[in-house]
Amino acid sequence: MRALISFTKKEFKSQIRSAKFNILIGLFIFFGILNPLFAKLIPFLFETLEDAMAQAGMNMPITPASDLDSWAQFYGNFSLYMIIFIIMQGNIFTKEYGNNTLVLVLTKGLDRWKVLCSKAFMLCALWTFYYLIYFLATYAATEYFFNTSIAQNVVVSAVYLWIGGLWICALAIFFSTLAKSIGTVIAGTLIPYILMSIFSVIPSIDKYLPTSLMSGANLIYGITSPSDYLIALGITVVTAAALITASVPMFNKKQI
Amino acid sequence: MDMLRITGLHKRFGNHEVLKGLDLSVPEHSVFGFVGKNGSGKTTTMKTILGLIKADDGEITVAGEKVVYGQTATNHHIGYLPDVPEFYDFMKPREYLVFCGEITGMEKEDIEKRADELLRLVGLDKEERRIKGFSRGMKQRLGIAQALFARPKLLICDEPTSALDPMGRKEILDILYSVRNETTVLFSTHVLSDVERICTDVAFIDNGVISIHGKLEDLKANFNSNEYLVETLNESDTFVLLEQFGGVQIAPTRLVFKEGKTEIFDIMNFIAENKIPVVKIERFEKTLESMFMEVITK
Repeated sequence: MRALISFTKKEFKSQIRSAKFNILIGLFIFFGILNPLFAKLIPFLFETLEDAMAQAGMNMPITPASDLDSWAQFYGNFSLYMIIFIIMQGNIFTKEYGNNTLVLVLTKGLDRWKVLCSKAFMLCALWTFYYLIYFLATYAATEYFFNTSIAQNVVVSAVYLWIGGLWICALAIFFSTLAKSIGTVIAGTLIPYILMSIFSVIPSIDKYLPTSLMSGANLIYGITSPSDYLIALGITVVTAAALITASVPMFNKKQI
Repeated sequence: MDMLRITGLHKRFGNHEVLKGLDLSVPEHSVFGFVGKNGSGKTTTMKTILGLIKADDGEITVAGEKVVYGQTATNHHIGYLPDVPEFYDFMKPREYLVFCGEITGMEKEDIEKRADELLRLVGLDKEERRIKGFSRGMKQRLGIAQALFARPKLLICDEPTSALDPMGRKEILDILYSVRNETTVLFSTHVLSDVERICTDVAFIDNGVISIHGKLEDLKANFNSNEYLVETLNESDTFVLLEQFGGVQIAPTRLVFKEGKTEIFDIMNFIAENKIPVVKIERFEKTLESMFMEVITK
C-alpha cells in the first residue's frame, strides 16, 4: 500500500511541478467564463446584424439571453475541451515509455498493477479537477451575467457529463496500455467517442450509448429527465470498469 | 551458491535470433564482467533477467527464485543501472532516493539513513539542484545510488562506463569495486580494461552464446598460449620467416607466433644461422583483449 501511495504522490508532484498544470487551470477558467459571455454576446451580435439580415429577407426573432443559453454553451463546447484535455494529459503513460523512467521503477519490484492504478487514478483526478474548475467558472459567471434560473437539472446533467468524461479517461487508459505513442492513444480514445456521437443520431441506439450522458442540453431544457439516462449510465459504468480491468493484463504483458 | 543462474536462454526478434541457448552462472559476491561486442545480446540478457523482455525459452533464477516475465517479485533482489538511467527530472536526488525507498517498502528511518549514506558515497550529498540539470556522469552516479538503495543481493549494471569520460569512468569503477562486499555485481561492458581492473569473474558472449566463462585469474592462467613478436629490419626477411615458420604478419616487418605452436628457439637459431637483422624479439602475455579478439573472430 505504501508503494501505491508513494507512486501516486509522485504522479501528483509531476503534475503540480509542470507548467502544463497551471496552463490547463487558466484555460479551463477561461473556457468556463466564455460560456455565459458568448451567451450574452450572441443577441448583441444578432442585433447589430438585424438590419443587414432584414435587407437580405431574413427575419430572425431575437430573444433575450438567459442562463439556459449559458448552459447550452457549456454542453456544446464540452467535446472541444475534452479533446484538449486528452491531448494535454493523454501522455500520462506514453511519456514514461518514451523517457524510459518506468524501467527503474519496475526493476525495483513495484507491481505493474500499482503503476496502472496510480496513473488511472491520477488521470481521473485531473479530469475531475479541471472539469470542476470549468463547471464552477461557468456557474459563477452565469450567476454574475444572468438573473434568470430557467435551466433545469443543472447539477445532475453536470454529474452525467463528468461520468462521461471518466468513461473517456478509461478509454485513454486502456489504449495507453496497448500503444506506445501519444498519437495512437489519442486516436484510440477519440475514434470510439466520435463513432458513438455519430450513432447517437439514431434514437433507438442513443439511449444505450455513454455519449448520451454528454448531451446534457436535453436535460437542462427539461426535454428529458435524469431517469431517462439510467441505462446509458449503467452501460457507461460497466464498460469503463471493463476497460480498466482489461488494462491490467495488457499492461502486465507490455514490453517496457 | 550462484546468485544468478541462466539455462538455455533463447530470444528472437523477428528473424534475428539474439540469444541461442545462453547458459550463465554468477557466483555470490563476485564482480562479474559480462563482455561482448555491440549487438551480441548483453542488454537483451539483462532485460530478460529483470523480467522486462519475455524469453522464448530457457530459465532464469535470481537468489534461487524463478524470474517470470512481467511480474517483478525477483526484482526485489536486484538493483539495476541501465546504460542511460532516466529519472523523474522534476525531483531532487535525495527526493528520488526517498521515492525509491518508499516503493521498495523500506522503513522511513532506514530510508533517511540510506539516502544520506549513498549520496555521500556517490558524491551528490551537497547537490540541491533538480535532476533535470545533471550531467551524464552525475546521472550515472545517482543511478548507482538508486540501484544500491534497497541493499540488493544482485547489482546489474548495463555498460555503466561506456558513455563517460576517463574521470567519470574511474569514479563509477571505484564505486562498483567498493560495494563488492555488500552485493554481487554483474556488469556488461566492452571496455576490457574495466573488467581487468575490478572483476573477479568474466564471461564472453558471442553470437548468442557464452563462449568463455570463469574466474578471471583461471582464464588468464589457462590461456597459456603466450605470443612472440618478431620484428625484422627488412621486409624480405619477414617473408622468409613467414614461409619457414608460419605465424601471423601484423605489419610489413612484424610477425606474431603463438607459443606452443612454434618453438621460439628454433626461430632464433634460424635467425642466427641465416644472419637475419632483427629489430626486436618480444614475448607478451595473453591479455583479455587478445582473448576477446580471438573469441569474436573465431
